[in-house]
Amino acid sequence: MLDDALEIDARLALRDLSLSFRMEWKAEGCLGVVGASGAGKTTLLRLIAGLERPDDGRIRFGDEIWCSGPDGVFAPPHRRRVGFVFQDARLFPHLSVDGNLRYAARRAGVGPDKMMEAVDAFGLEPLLDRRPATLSGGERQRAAIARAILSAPRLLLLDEPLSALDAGRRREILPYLDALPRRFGVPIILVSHNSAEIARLADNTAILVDGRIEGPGQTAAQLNAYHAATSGREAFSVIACRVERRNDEMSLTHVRFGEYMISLPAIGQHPGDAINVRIDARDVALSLVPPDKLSIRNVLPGTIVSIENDPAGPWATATLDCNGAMLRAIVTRAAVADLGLRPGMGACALIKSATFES
Amino acid sequence: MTFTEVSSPDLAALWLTVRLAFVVTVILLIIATPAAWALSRMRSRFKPVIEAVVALPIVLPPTVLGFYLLVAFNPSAPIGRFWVDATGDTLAFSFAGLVVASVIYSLPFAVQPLQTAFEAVGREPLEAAATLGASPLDAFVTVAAPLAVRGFATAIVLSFAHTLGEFGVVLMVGGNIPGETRVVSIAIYEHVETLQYAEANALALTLLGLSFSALLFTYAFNRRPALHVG
Repeated sequence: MLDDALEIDARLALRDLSLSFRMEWKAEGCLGVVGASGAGKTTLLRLIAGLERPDDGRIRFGDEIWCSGPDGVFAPPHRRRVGFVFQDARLFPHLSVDGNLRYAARRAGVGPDKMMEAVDAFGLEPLLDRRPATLSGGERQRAAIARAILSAPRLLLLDEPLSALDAGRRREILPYLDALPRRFGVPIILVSHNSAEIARLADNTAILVDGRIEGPGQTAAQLNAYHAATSGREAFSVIACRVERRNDEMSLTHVRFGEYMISLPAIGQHPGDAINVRIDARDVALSLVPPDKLSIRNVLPGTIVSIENDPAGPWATATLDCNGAMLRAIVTRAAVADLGLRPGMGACALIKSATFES
Repeated sequence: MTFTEVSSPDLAALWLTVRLAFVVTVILLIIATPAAWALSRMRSRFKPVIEAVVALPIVLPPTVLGFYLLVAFNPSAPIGRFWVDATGDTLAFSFAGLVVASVIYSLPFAVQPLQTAFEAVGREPLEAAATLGASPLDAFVTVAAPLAVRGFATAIVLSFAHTLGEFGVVLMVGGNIPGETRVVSIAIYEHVETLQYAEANALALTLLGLSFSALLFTYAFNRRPALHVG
């Protein structure tokens, strides 16, 4: 199939929300879908998988029509070859991990060597004989992702695969997710309410607002646009960077955007890889002079473009243009007054490397 | 009361009863499984009506059910005539008639545990199976049925035990023909009528033992921790 594009134009009325999804995606790499809870993210995935039938509209994947009109074609989920990793894993409780993997492999005609590869890739070897009930949340998700991969899907849907896990488990799963599209050659749609996950994993991102899709577009631009509306302590910025080099001795990865370099804790990426760096506005400090003798590794000179004071609280959000990238910083209103910060002024953004999620 | 060995006509009644209970249980499994599955998935507003009809034999006096079945089995009624045309035999006062009556009488005891078990399975595991390429029938056999195995055990034991002990319906549609419709409960009744308490006791004890063992098996099976089946 030359044109593996996914095209959706579907409407569905739910009890408290009416959805109108319209999207075209090349089905390459990882597509992130962000949106508040209740915006219809899970329903979008269920429509694509065929677990939900739209009131009206059509869904096409490559040269296959999966759904057209209220009384037209409807391909049932077991004929679509769409993998689905549910938020709650949904491993079959009456089968061992091995039994769960075989369940998928047998129906997809996947052979033992592929099976071994998946077991290996997700570190499932020691868990094969275990029942799902005896697994930790992270182990369960790993098994569920491996099972979905073994169904040889043409498209893999991940519904908040990390939301049930604590921070430590997330860090355990992230590298597996990161490697998925390239290692197994399957396009992925990743739904999450966590923009840090999307920034880390998604090449392109679509935003879901009130049952409508905006995008897809480049992840950094999409996330920044989505969160331009979010001010206050949750504000952040995303910068599209490229890995420049790794410093294994210091366990750092240096990434570049424009002429600027940022040091991050070492991650699995290789030089040349694209990476979205998400910076919480809370973690950015401003300085009018380039600092000296400071532990902070990342000093990015730029120009202040705007300052929004929040009259109800102590904070102000300053937006800095650093070499074309818009960086947001939360500082106190008192600091704005003391330093006399105003749009047009030059300032340096200071970011501690320790604030980056790895 | 002295213990008496079970006499040979009573052995025949015992064998007939077990045969009846076995045949009825098999037929009920075949009928009740799809019915319970359909009910567990159904969202129609007619669902309560169907559930009430299925549950009716639980509350209906067996003589009422037996009476209407006897009327329906009459060769001048459509069902009775159809049976005579098809087999040359009448449904009333025959083993086949007992099977039909018992299936109806014990239907809720098969449908209800299965429906409850299927509802407990929920749609989640079946959706997962579908996304892994399993057709609905495949998903039913490989996921829903193993997860509902306790429901099957309960349905089998209850259907069997309930059919073993039926009296009113049998008396109405079957009468008391040795080797054909004379089941254990009828035989016990007959012994009591003729004041043969020892014979009645021998049969009653056998039935008591059978019913208790069946229930004991179900509870022991359903008590086992975590699912390790299939």
